[in-house]
Amino acid sequence: MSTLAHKSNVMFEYLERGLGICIAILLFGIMALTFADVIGRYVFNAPLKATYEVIKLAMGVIVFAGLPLVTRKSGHITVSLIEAILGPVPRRILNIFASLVTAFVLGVFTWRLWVLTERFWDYGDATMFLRVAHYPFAFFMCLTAGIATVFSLANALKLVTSGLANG
Amino acid sequence: MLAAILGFVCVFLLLFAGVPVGFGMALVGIVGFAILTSLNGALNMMGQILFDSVVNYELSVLPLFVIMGNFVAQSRMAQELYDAGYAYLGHRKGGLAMATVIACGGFAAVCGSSVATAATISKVAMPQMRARGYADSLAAGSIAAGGTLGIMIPPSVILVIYGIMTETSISKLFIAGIVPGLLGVLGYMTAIVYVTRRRPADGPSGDRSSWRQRLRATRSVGGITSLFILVIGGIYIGAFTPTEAAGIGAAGAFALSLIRRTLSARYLLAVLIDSGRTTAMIFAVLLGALMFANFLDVTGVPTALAAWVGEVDLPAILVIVVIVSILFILGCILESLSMMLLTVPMFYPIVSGLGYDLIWFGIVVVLSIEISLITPPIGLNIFVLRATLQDVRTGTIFRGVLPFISADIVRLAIIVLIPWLSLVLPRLML
Repeated sequence: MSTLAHKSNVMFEYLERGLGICIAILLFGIMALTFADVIGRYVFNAPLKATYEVIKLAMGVIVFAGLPLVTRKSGHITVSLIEAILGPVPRRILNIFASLVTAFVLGVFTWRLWVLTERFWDYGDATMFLRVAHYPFAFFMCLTAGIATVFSLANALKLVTSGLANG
Repeated sequence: MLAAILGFVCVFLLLFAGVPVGFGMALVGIVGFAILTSLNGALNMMGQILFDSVVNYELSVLPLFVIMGNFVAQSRMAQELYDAGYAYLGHRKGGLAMATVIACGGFAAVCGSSVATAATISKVAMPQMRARGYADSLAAGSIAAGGTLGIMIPPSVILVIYGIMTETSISKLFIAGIVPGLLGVLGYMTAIVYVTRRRPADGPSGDRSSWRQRLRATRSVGGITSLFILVIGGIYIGAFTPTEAAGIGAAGAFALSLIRRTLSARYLLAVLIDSGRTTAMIFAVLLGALMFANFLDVTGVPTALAAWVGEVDLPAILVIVVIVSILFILGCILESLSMMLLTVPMFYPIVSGLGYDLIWFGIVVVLSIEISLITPPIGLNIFVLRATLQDVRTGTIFRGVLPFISADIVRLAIIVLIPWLSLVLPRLML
């Protein structure tokens, strides 16, 4: 069990790093692209026509690549009003509950994004100008939502096992 | 009506149980939508929101402004802002706290987040105030309160989200935040004067700077000033859309940190990943809020409520006072962004039905959020300070922000009673 936990931890670590680098490159890219677009428009009177679509698609990747990162560190925005007044055991139980609800919602997200991927594939949805197919992006979003689901389940599991270990 | 109330109750229960805000709202929104229409309809609505509202050009304004703020934060420009404030105000009673508020206002002009503003300025201002023997309450209070200006003085992440939810012009919202933001600086200064009059020992004066020093300090904030003028000025004269302005601002802040050599490859990576993380956090809440808002829409309550308010012919100002009071109370118990996302879909049809300008209402909402960031028991800025100042008690910080909260309540009353203050600049736009 503990080696399995260790192995999955190492794998999660790599996943996280990969997603982080992907985010960094794309964010820097949309920054440079927006900048170049405005310069092109004002200085050379030649806006980059594809900017709009490239940024649009990059946004999908950035946000959904970030989702597992935030989920793994339990970094989502929460209301911490009641937590402060609870003892350690009820607090842990609530945290497990919260992680499970998160995993459930993320799981449904994953499922619906898969359905969307299939639909995009069947109907051949693509962007207007560059004709970039939508389905790989929906699939990427489905994949990362799935990873986030696993991360959230792992969080719940960790809370349960460490709770049992501490009695 | 019952469905909407039940929906709100369920969301509150989930949030108070510690479920992340976005997922709690998503769950209730989808289940509610499914009960009122059909499961298939709800699931399709969900897929649509997940793809369409994320794969979206206009919303790239959010990560770009987040990057801009993060670049500025790591470029050590906060120190110069503080020094400039100190050069002019340091010799007064409470002068270092005033310099802190000035630094917060200046930082807010290039950063769209209150938390980032408070966190950045606290690193610069707190050691200085401590060295001069300032009371922890005044020192921490001025940083926590000054930090809230981050979302009022443009750019502002909160105003972007408000603009998207209510379909109002983000450009105009930004420009509308300028006067109320400056009013905030003025109010906080007054609060500092009040505190140091009553307890002079809390905020001793520093050294007087010569005009030569002042000139030098003024020149050193040139970079940050030009960035603000470029970005917000560009929006004001209509040269850039908010998204373009955000791209220019982020690239400008990146260039500034390159020139100042504060940026290594490792830092660059960290800043970008951190910005991506923040973006994902905001979107998780936004997605949930959109799903919940769709559920509210099918209950028909927002429109019915707006129609009812129109029929009973209550004095408009009374309705506004009720709305502001609700925002104030919810602000005390809810996280700020969620407070806005939960309530605004309910309130804005009422407000616009009464003939009020939604730009003005956006400013009122942001001001309520500013206050919610520093009110007990869960003001977010207080906890930001607690994290950076391990040895200061939470109670001390809350005591310290009280005069600033009073100043904010006065400001809220002024902004509510005189919409002109928020609307004068956007009306001058082309």
